Amino acid sequence: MKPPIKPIFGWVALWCLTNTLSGCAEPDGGVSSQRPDWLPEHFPSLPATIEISSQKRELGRWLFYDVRLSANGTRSCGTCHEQPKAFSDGLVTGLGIENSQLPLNSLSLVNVAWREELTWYRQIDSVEEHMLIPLFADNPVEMGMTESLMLERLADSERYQEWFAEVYPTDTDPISVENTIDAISAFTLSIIDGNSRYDQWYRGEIALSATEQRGMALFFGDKMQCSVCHGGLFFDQPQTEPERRHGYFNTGLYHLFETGEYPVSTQGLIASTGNSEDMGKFRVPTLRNLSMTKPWMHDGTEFDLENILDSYARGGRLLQSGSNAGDGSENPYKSDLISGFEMSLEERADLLRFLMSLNDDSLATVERLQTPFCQRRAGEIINPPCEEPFILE
Amino acid sequence: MHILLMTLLACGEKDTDTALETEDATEATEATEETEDTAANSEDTQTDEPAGWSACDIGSDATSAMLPSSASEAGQLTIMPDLGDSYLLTKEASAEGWFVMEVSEWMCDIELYTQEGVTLALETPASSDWELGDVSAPVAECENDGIYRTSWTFHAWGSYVVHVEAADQTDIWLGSIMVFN
Repeated sequence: MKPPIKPIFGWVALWCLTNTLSGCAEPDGGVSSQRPDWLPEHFPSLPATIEISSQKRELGRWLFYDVRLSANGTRSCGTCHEQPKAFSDGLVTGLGIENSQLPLNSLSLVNVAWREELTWYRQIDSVEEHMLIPLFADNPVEMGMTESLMLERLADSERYQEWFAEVYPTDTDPISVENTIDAISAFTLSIIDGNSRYDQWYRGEIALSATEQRGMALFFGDKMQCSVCHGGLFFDQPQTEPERRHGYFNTGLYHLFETGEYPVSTQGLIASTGNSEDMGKFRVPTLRNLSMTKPWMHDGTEFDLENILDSYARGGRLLQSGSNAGDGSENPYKSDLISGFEMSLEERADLLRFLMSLNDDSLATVERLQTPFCQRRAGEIINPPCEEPFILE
Repeated sequence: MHILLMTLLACGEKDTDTALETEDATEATEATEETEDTAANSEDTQTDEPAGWSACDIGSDATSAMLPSSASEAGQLTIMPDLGDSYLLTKEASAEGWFVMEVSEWMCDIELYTQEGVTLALETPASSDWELGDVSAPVAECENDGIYRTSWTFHAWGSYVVHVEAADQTDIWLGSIMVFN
């Protein structure tokens, strides 16, 4: 594998040459645009199925951060997908409205517009479909909402009455479950970010450091082959799955009972397919913004990136103590791609520096993605100007 | 030999978001249902322990679990301090153990209770805007039991690796309790 070759022309230039009639660099006005002005110039256009108007996106932003969309008013979508944490939550696994622990680590929502598998293994490919789970699922309960309660609360708000009518003018009853999900989806799909050091280098704006360049060579090189699974511009595209935007792999995290089992709390794709060969298989997550999405892995059991790299180097994770002790390198369901490699401490440091170049520290303060509701610390508002939060009566 | 370890949470609502107080979970939350207005109550920090709870009585109804013996393996054991939960943790022969504590609320004072001779410390570096006070002291009301309390203050929810040092002790009692502000 070779390091990526930067395009001679920027993505925008190339795109404009071939799509002049589609509105290249079209401002994000009231009409949907496949290249809104907030889309990084080196990113591909939004998929054709996605239409995001500025009005709908703004309504979706309010709904995304509105705690009235949880039964007891303690959670919004943005509670478990926090902007400063690259729209993940920093927890081992998610927490429902009554602090019940969910089985899986909350995935980052950044750049999901191009993602075909939105969960760790459930094979859900649309944000609209996926949103039904946190909103309405009762086992486990996440937000604990019911359709009738959600519509009742939204209809109680004059702001939402007017806003839904503006965004969905042809609907007789614009405040509907379908439209609510549609608006939140529009905002979620607009959570796009591409201003890391790597992105800046990709666009020809800066040079990566010597350490980062050495790490990049290792990442894309034949020795470690990280990019075989974490490929593409979003570092989540398995090169073994050229026809798809996702793939599922057992990376040798566990080897319970010396049979290859994973902990019963979550065993991956096997839960969807029933196929024993799918034991421990999970989707490849993006490597962007790693420093903000800790802890890592599908079950949030990793707190140390060096330890993760060491596990890949040895061909699987070794747990010498604890209730899940076992040598994951011996897992019979493990992918052949996790075969191990030699790695010096210097190489590990270089690789980590490259991975850190995929962080975008400015993501936390991107204004169009921020909550419109006031946030306080020690009683002081920290995000002015803002609206006071809705209060459940 | 056993180690007694107990957690006490004194939590508030999400200070940096719009979270409102839960209405239906526990008696602890019922005691604070007046705190719906985040702004008006964000600086109130009255801790109220639930009825019947005592730091001296932390070994009942314990759930058994194995305590990982390295920091890199801590993620196998996640403990979320909750109302009245308790654990019996078995540690390997080494003097050290690790587990992950998932802090589920914002603006929390978390207190861990353990026996004399057990040292507890957070290993996960805190971000710069989180204030972590580290206090360890014997619990006066449990003087005969030799129970010590270690406490921290968290401004936001999150997961933290806790380092346990306990020479010559292999079984650890971990009780947990959550008390809202």
